Amino acid sequence: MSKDHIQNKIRTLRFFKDEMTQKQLAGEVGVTRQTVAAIESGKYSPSLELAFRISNVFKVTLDEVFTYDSSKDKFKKK
Amino acid sequence: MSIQVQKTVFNFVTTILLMVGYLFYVFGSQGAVNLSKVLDFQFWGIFILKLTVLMVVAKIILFILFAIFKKVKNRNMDEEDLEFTDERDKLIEMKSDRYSHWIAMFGFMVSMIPVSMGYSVQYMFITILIFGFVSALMSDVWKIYFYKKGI
Repeated sequence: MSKDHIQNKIRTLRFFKDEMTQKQLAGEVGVTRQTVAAIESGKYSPSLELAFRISNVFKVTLDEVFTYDSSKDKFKKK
Repeated sequence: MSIQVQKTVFNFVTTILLMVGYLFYVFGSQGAVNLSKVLDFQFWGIFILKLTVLMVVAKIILFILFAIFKKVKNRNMDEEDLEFTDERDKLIEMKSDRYSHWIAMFGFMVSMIPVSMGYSVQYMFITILIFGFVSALMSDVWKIYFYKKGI
């Protein structure tokens, strides 16, 4: 159940932060390593709070970590 | 395999083993159940209450043993916390529990069919037990599925 419409640059940001490991990032934001892995691979969309925590670790804004493509988002309009 | 999936698989296996063990204890070669007992409300009341107590107590003991086993096995490794759950774990748990409750509710409705058709009470209890057991197992199956495929 990969979410194509929400993408992230966590892997790249980890690389530029001295090859930070998934476990280190998980520890910084208070989740398990598996959750970080699931976010990175697009299998899980984090809560807004967790997304802000992740962007805060890398000292960047939210839209520099996560990008949203509305053309790929399949949702029902009311 | 992550610790969450290991816990779920362990829960799945122990649920099957405990249920089979309990059924063997009640109806197996050592069991003293005859037809008149099976048709009795009191028998089923005791059966379900005993099963509930057994499941709760046995699961607590087995999970303590599982935690000890993991601790000993990963003594020198930087292991993950068994008790720690984050927002994804809670979401997966809620979603899989919701699906399993649907099965349990469906089972309850199905169990009313033999009652409404005038069959004896044993069919109602057997249907409830089967669907209860299946819903417990499916909760774990969905958890494993969501952990593997994403949510």
